[in-house]
Amino acid sequence: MSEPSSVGLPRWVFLPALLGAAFVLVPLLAIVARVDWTNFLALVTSESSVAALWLSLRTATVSTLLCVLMGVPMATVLARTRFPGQGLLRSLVLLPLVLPPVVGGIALLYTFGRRGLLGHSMEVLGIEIAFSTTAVVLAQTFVALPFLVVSLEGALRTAGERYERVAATLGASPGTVLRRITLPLVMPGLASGAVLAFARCLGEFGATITFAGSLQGVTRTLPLEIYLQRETDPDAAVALSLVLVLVAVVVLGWARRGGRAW
Amino acid sequence: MVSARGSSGPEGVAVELEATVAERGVQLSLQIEPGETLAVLGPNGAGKSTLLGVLSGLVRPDSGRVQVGSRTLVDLAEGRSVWTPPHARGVGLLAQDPLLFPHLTALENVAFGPRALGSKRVAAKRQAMALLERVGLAELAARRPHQVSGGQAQRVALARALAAAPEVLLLDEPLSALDIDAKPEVRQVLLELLPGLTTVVVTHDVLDAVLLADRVAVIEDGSVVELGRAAEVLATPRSAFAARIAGLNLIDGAWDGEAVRASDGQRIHVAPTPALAPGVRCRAVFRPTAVAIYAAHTEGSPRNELPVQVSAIEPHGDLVRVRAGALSADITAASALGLRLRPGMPVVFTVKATEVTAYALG
Repeated sequence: MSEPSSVGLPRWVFLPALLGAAFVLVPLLAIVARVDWTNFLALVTSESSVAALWLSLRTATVSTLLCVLMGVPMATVLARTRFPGQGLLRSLVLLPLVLPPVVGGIALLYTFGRRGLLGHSMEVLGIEIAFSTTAVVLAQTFVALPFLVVSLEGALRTAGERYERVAATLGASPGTVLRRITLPLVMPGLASGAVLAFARCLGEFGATITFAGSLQGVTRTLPLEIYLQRETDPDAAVALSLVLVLVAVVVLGWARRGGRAW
Repeated sequence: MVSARGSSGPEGVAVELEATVAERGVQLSLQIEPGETLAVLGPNGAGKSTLLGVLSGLVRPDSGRVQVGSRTLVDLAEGRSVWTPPHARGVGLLAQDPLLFPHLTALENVAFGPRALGSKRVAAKRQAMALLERVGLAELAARRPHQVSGGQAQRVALARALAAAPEVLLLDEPLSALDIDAKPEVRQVLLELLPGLTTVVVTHDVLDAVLLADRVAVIEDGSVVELGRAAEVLATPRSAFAARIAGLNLIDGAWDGEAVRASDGQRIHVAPTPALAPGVRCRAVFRPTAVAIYAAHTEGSPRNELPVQVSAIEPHGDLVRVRAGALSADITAASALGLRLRPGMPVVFTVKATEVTAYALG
């Protein structure tokens, strides 16, 4: 026997549900309809487009790596320990999730910018971050990190600590438990968290333009390029948008697969 | 004696435990002999799990002491704070649920303990394979946990616990989550592998207590109320809980190759046939509920028949307990009335061979 059949839904629910689905899908179709197919290849392979795409992929990859390096320990600490003020700390750390990205960019500017909190001492050391590719990476990491932490912390809580306790009674030190039990068990959650973070990095606009500016090949990522082209060459903007939509679809497919590892 | 971890020879280690956990209303004091199996019985919430938690290091008592062999694992008396984390205790735990690591094969599960304790990969796998063979599952080494049955999973979990070479093994109702059909196979493996290893087994099943354990401790309201040899505690229960669960039928005798032959010549057949050598002293065990009563001998019955004389009839929950010397039968009130039972009456206690378990007496 398969799943027990559901008790059913009132018929009126389907109307707003359909309306919502159309609201999301029709604009995507509108892009496809508006694409200038004859010049599509030329538009997406122009020098500025390729530079933007390449920059976006590079920075999003590095940012995702940073998210994993910092996010895994953060999620583990949040899910597996208890300390005073933990709830507050969690809310604050996850703030970029709900913060307007422009505000994030301003916050970063006044931290790492030339006259920022840390910027001055960094300038003394000869490091200048604002309006560089490094700034793009920092902006993306800032907005994407909470995505990874939230999804991994959820996976850790769902997995529970039962297997970890068993491993400890088998003589495994906390380090061994983390490496051989905890992380392998939440690998699907970690993978989909990383994919989500990568997608968020690719789409980053507000914090990037505020903190990193828009220099072709240095800080002008794909979303920035699309925004710029929209005024001078709408056809190019539409073509590049379609590229981002396709990348998003691929990423989402990965994330769905990652959630079903076993 | 050097208390090398993994010495699971006949000279196991002794355990001494004293613990107070105020939050759970538990105040326990217990000593376990080297190499013995101690069964812990008691109502839910009496403190059985707390006992295992304190021993394994998953529960920190407010005060107390845990001594395993020559090692002091916990000493939380006034002004002292010795605390050994679970992974450094050499105390293994097998719970109701096998909890095999889902991302590892059966073999990798069993090899986990040796690897964690520093064995090389090849050596750990060889050791794991040997243990899988001892629980009779070598052919399932490459399977994932979701590809084995519940009973097999629990046997793999036992092999995994033993592979970590614990000085003390804790079993938390190891059979209770298993199907009726899977219980005997796991029970059999426990019977074969536990002797010589200091073991604490928490169980609800008095039959398992008698089969697996040398001694029985009864815990009620957070403290040990009875402690003694299994047969004695159950024969002369002093606590309310022990009295409620006692009454198991025990017949001692010798294995004659086909059945248990009691000293009075009575033979008790056992199915499936246990692996006992002819002539070995053994004990047949069966529950009072497995006994049916007939007024007279029935011709051609495949059952064990025990001619007895009724000595007492008393209510026992929803049933009627009929005592005949050392034996008891629990039958419905209707059948007791139908048989017109009264003390002194000769009747026949019958029990199917499949309801009887036999084990060698040490």
